[in-house]
Amino acid sequence: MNEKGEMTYTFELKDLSYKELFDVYKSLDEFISFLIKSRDNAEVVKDEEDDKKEENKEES
Amino acid sequence: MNFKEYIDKDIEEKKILLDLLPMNTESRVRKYKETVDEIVKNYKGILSSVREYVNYKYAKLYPNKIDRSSQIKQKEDEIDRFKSLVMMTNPKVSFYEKMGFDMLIFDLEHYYNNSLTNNNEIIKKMLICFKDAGINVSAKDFRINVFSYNYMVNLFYLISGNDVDIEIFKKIFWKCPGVYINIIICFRMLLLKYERKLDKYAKSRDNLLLKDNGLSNREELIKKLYSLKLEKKQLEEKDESDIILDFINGDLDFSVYNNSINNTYGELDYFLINSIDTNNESVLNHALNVIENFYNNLLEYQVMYSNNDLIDNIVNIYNKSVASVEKKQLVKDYNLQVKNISKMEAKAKKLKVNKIFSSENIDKVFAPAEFNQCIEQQNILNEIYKEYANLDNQYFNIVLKNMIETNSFVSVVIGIVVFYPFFSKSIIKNVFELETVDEINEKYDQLFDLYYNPYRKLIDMKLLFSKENFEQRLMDSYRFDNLNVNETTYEEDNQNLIIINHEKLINKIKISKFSHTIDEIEFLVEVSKIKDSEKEAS
Repeated sequence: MNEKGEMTYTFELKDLSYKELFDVYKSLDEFISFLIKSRDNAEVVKDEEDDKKEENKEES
Repeated sequence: MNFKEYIDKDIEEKKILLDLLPMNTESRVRKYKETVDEIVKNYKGILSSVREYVNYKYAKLYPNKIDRSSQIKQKEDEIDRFKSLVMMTNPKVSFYEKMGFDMLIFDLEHYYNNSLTNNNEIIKKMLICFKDAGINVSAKDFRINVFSYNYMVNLFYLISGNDVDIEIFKKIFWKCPGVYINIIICFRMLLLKYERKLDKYAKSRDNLLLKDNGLSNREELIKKLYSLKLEKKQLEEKDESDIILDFINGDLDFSVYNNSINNTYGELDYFLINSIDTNNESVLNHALNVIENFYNNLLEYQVMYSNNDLIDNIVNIYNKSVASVEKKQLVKDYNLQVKNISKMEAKAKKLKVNKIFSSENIDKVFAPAEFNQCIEQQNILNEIYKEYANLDNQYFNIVLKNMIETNSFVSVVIGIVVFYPFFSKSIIKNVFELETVDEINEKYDQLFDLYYNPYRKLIDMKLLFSKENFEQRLMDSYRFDNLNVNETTYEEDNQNLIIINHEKLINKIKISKFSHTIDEIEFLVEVSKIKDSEKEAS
């Protein structure tokens, strides 16, 4: 447990098989690519409720 | 939970978390991006540590390629040396082939494919052959024509260590493009003149040549050639590092092996009629041995059939010009041709144009009076050259008569090709429509290897003048050995399948003995793919 009260883990990479090690490597690589893509494409998405609220604002 | 399980779980959780983050306002999007940046930062740190460890493991597992190229080159050189010895000590051929005159003349006949220096080297080699046999040849022996004489005067001067401007040879060639033909004619005259002396010399050096190479007889020489070929084959065989590197480079498809690696002998089902007990070592070794022989025979079959036209061509020559003629008559025809050529040579020598030899000034030839005679002389020389080609054919007819009459196997035809390279190379050139000497030599070497093949079997089985179904005979023989050979085996697609399955079987057996595990190989293959894509991206 760390000072914030969160659980912490200690892992040894040498405990992984070659297949697992490669899978981790690949998963991390893919996840980072996914995150960067998500960040770059992030934009404001308004749902129906937001639209209604905005309409109300304008009328008042 | 291990690290993989933790990462998989954490990635899923992070994805859910990001999905839940609201993005309906600019500030919320900004917050989303900040969260993503934080995760990216954290994960890049993790990736960096993992990458460092992966690189460490990759480098540790990466096979060290053992470079055997210099050893292979050394074996090739030895094989070449012993191949020459096979020809030089062959009791079936004359001094013409033993001493290599046939091929030197063949090479000089293709003077237009060689550099001027190469042509001079070929001529020098022929002069050395005469010298070795105790025959003194001088420029005077080339006085059939003013240009050939002047060429040789300069070449002898050069050979003696004097400075000769290479331009003089070019100048002579430009004045007389037939100069090499004329030099060849002079060599042919010398070969006829000193036939007995050269033959005696060539025969006398057989034992000496064998002894100098640590051999006591020709049988030993052939055995040595076979063992050198097998040693070279072993050196060329792919070892653990070669195969793994082939997987890494994509030359071998790892997925094909990965899916069936646990079934090491799976390909036996493709080759055998009835399954065998692979746990029984002697049964297994016998089956593998039979498959290996079958595979080597298939390679022999492919080369044999790719040369069908050549074999047919020689058989046609035999049927057309040799089969119905008595050997005595063939010899008589040959001797008559020799006399005919001598007369033509005498006629060429008598022409007045030869009187200017003493001046050694080739420009004089272009004085109007000599010029016409010079052309007349060259025409006669060109005719003589053609007659020598006919003489060669008559000689070849006698060879065919001697060899095919006594035996009617394809091996004899291939043997003729191997023993008489001068004729075979001319036929190879025509049958396969080859242009360059290198192409012709490559084809000739293929036939030499077909004849002197440690696994040779089929060319001894196939009859020349028989209409038997050869494939049927092979099929019957192989099926006795439990090999699944049928009517379609020798179709081209199936031949390729045999080669593919053989490679797979051999590789799988090797892989089962590797120090690398299949997981380690897969790791190397997959990591190298990522490394390649990273390289491309950067």
